[in-house]
Amino acid sequence: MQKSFVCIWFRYFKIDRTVIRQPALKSQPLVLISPVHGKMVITAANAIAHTQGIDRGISLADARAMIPGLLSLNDQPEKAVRWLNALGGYCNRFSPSVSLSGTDTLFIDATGCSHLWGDDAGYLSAIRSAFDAIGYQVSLAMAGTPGAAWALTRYGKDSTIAAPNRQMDALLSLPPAALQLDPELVARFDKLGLKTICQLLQIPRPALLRRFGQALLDRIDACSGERMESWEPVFPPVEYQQRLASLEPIITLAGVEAALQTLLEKMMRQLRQEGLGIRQAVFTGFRSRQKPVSIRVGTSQPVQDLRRVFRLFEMKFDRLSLEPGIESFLLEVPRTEPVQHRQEKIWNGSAVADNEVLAELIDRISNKFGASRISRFLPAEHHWPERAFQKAISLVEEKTSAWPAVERPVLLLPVPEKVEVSAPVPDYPPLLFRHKGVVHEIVSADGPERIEQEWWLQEGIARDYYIVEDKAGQRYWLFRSGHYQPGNRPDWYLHGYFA
Amino acid sequence: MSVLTAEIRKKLEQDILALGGFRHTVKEGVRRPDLGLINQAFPGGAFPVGAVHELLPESPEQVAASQGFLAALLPELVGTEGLVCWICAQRQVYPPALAQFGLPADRVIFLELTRPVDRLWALEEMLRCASVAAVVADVEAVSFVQSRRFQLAVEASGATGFLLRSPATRHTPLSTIASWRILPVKSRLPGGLPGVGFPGWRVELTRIRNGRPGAWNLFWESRRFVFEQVTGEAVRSYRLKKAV
Repeated sequence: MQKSFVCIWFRYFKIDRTVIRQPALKSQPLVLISPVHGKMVITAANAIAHTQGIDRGISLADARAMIPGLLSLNDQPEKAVRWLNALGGYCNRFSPSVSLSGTDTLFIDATGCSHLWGDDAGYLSAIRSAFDAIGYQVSLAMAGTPGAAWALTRYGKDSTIAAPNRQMDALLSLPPAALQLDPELVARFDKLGLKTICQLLQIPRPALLRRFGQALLDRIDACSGERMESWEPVFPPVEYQQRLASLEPIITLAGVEAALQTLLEKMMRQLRQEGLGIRQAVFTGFRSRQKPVSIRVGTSQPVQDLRRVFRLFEMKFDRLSLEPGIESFLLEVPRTEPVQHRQEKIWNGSAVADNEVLAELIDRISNKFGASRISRFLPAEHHWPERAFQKAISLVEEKTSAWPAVERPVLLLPVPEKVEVSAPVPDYPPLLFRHKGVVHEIVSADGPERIEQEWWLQEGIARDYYIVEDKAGQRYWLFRSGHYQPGNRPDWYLHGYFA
Repeated sequence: MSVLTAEIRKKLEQDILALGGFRHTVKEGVRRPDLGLINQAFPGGAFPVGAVHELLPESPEQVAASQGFLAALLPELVGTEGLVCWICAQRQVYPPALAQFGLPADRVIFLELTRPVDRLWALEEMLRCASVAAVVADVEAVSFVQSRRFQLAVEASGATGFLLRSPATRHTPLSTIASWRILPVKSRLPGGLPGVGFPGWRVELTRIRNGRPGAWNLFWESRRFVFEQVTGEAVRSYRLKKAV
């Protein structure tokens, strides 16, 4: 298929962005500055300053001499890429695949997209008006390769559309710098009198290689499409996605519901054919002049039931802000899983782990409060009490070892609490202990059960555990941290309550 | 003749219960745990399932006793396959300990929700879900209206709920079927052996709708309950004390 790419060059990217945030600055000469070798140097200037002869690289003092009332703001170069990334997300409405270049250029892979906007010209004007509406000045071009599109935005006529497979013809009259070459090489061409790409191409390839190196030929091939350039999309494309454009901006919840229903129906039809179910889905609404809004849901099992996914989304509709109206919708399914078709049980068992109804409820709870709030535990083969169990990955994961058959307290304190004891003889259970000011007189005890730290996991002293029962019949789990040694009295702790 | 009188008696008892507004809403196929001696206290002589019970522990020791009692009771309620949902602010139950009471922790779904409102929402949703046979929840402030909602939810689904109420808010009356207090008592060891023996609890049924409150000593010996009747005096005195 004939590829086509759109290059968007934000000529005054950082300035435009500043003015959008502070519209009062719009009609004044404005520059962005940053310190270089101890003096303030201009890194960007707006169109008004530009026409009065101020360009990048001039020091602020010189510029002030030219325009006394020049406004200057500190440049934030580290943020430019982040802003550009956000704009890349905004461009997702034009194509699923968008890529960044430098700090002021976006590429859109427009292959098979432009017919949705009528034709190529309509596509470009839609992009232009979208950015005009926000307040960015852009130069656009469309060509069969990103390199050619880049050259046309910088050096060609604005909104040029290169004919399919003939992008080199459009480049012939442009200067060699349009090939994104090393500045040194460009200077050499200038010296040699090679003013256009056309002149360059008339030289035989072996001579070009000998005189100027492989890099030049690589760039020429990249522009002509002989060699594919690497393409790194801002957002990795999702395999399963459905789009829906609306004729007019949608402002009511009913409209959003209808759009979601339509998208889910299409998506489910596709997934069902491939035997897949949804594990995670993202519903995005693109608004004019605003950031896209999206809601994300996850399920604990692959789901093919439309109603079930719809209800999960429905719970989060209150997080969607619809102002000033959603222009197009996108449903993506980043995670799918094959559905295991089970034989239906004739009798609905009272409660089984793979019960659909329960799984749906669990999904609703985890989407409302977060999946980390729901847990199920399986035995872990460790003696250390805090490590004797682990979280199960799913609702249906089976245990691989049995639960320990030893006596363990039903209520375990998250952190052992220090107690004062009186123990008659070392290695005997204490006679009494004091916890939170209450003295418990011990009448019977079991122990000690020595539990060592597992040295391959953690170094530390062993614990000697005693099960003790006081006069009232209340049972506790006490431990002594470490051994008795001359001159060292080990501490005692309360770690749990037996039932 | 005696068989006939027993039958007539049973019929009359059921009629009286029906007149008193007690509806027998137990669904087909729902398991009812056998609590031996305590069964006599329940209306109809069987543990009320499809209802909400409240447990009123006052200290960590009593919380542990209540958890142990529930861990022993729940498997009877949900069977060997069923799942239990345990809603708490912060999990304190030690999962490996549940297995010794016959409830392996891999059949318990823990739900940790810090906000009391969220816990109540989750509890109601869980009670309404017909696939969950039993739900245990730590609750703080519950209003009477909310407890009615729980009751309506379980009547539809057949699930059984257990509310572990914190001491501070227990004076609000709730529309629960029964109130329990589980206190630890001295453990038993056969033959006077030294050491800590089988766990035991004093089970006080302080309120039961259409039933007879009472108190029993219950021991968990070799994976089953062993009962000891406590005289009715102790319970009555407890209730009087509460009333004053």
